[in-house]
Amino acid sequence: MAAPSVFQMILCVLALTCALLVVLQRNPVISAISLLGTLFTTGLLYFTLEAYFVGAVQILVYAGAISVLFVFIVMLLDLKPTRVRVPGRAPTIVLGVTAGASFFVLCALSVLPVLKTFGLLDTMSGGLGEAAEGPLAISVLLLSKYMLPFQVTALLLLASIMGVVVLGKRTLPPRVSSFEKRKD
Amino acid sequence: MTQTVWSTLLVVVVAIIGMTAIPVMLVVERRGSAWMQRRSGPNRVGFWGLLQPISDAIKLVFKEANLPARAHRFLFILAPALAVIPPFVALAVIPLGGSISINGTEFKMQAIDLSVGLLFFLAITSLHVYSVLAAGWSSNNKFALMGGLRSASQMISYEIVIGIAMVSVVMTYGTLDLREIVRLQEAGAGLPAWGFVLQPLAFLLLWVCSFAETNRLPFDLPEGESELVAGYHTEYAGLTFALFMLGEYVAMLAASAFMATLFLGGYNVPFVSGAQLLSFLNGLGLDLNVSLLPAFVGTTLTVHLGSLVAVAIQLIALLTKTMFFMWVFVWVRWTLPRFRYDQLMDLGWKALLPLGILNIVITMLVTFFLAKGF
Repeated sequence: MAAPSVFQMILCVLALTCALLVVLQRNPVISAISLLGTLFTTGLLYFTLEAYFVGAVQILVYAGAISVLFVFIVMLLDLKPTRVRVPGRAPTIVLGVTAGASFFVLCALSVLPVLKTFGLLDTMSGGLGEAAEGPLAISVLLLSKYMLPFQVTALLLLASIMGVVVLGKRTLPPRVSSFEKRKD
Repeated sequence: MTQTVWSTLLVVVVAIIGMTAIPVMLVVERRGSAWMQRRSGPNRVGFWGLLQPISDAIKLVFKEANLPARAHRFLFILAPALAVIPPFVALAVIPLGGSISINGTEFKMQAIDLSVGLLFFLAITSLHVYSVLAAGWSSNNKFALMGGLRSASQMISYEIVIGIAMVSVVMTYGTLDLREIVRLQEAGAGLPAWGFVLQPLAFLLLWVCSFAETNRLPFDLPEGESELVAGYHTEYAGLTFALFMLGEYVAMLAASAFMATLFLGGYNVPFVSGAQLLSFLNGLGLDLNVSLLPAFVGTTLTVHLGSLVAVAIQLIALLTKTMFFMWVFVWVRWTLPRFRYDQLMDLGWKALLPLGILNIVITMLVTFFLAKGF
């Protein structure tokens, strides 16, 4: 893979800056819009890697649809800028940084073997490889080599949708009242 | 002449087309609405009121663009820019014509030639909603915020319908490349092989949804002045307001050009294929290379005259089809009243979305049986 171009480096810096702003901004709306910035610049990075399909889908799905919902909800709730108390004592900061770092290491340790088994690390080091070829190659890969992860993801998404429905309906009392009626 | 220079040149051409369409559309909209309502309309500035857009622009330049108290300064200024940039970028993937032969090399008349042009167009136009949301929220005005929120939910709902309609279109053509889609609609493959014959339902869905996507009547609830003053751009004045208007017209142009490309054969001249057109022009004696630069410049720049005229005719064909859709935008605006918000949502989710899914199922069955040969 060729060395990153100036344009790619600018995009990387932009993506990382936006990612940092998501966490560091006090105003939730600005955080949500920074998240959009991260997702959009990541999509542009895919374009510079000549993975046009992945880039277009990234912008269409993540930047165009999902983060609109984030921004929409945050605006609808009209959240006020939060005041986070900065921990004053050194031990708190040290403990916080250690906890964060160890969480990152644990995540990496658990994800790396999975990536290795599916051969994703080689794909990453050699550019985007097969994924850059276009929609046909990607759909063939999805329905053959990565069939299991694809289906598992679909199942996870279904489960999360069901979870959202359950959480959303929690305040409605019909089930509870019928149960109590039976108890009487 | 390298490909990079050519692409840059075409980007400028696309920008000029976009910027020129705005004053033309302003005249068409103002005079057209007057004609439909039996008024005179603005007819004092220039001949037949043709200079009215210039007078409008001068007025807007000299108005003060104010910043409301407690507005979010950065987003308030960013929002109009976000309204203008995505439609222009989306316009760049539309194929404008066949190819021109310069110095013996063929150059395609498409600013950005992407293998996934269709997806790219949808992706970029889906970013348009952020300008409305950002404007609504950053204005620190309840009417503006409500306009922004209305627009977000409306555009997301109708984007899903557009996506579903596009699935069946892609299944019919078997490609995401807009250039390839136009080529498949060329005459010769059976008379009019245009998209609206192959995919009438998808055509209708996209047409209806493009009104909602560009926030035009009858779906202009984000700026419903009877309820929300002016919706998301209540607090904007002067040039920042002009940018919102500009963005709306360029979005209309992009949506019209997209529909023309997918369903009306793009740049194809009706009943004539690109090769037929070129050989006809060559037969007229245009089959010669003309040098554009005088000899002392050093570099040579010869253009094949036949291909140049062919591309010009194709560009005019594309613009004519685009102008048809633009006129329908104006026509509908001054004909239909505004929907109620629940009617708008009902139409999107309960009528258009099921129709889109039905269209996918029908297309799937037809493609399957055509491939099997019954």
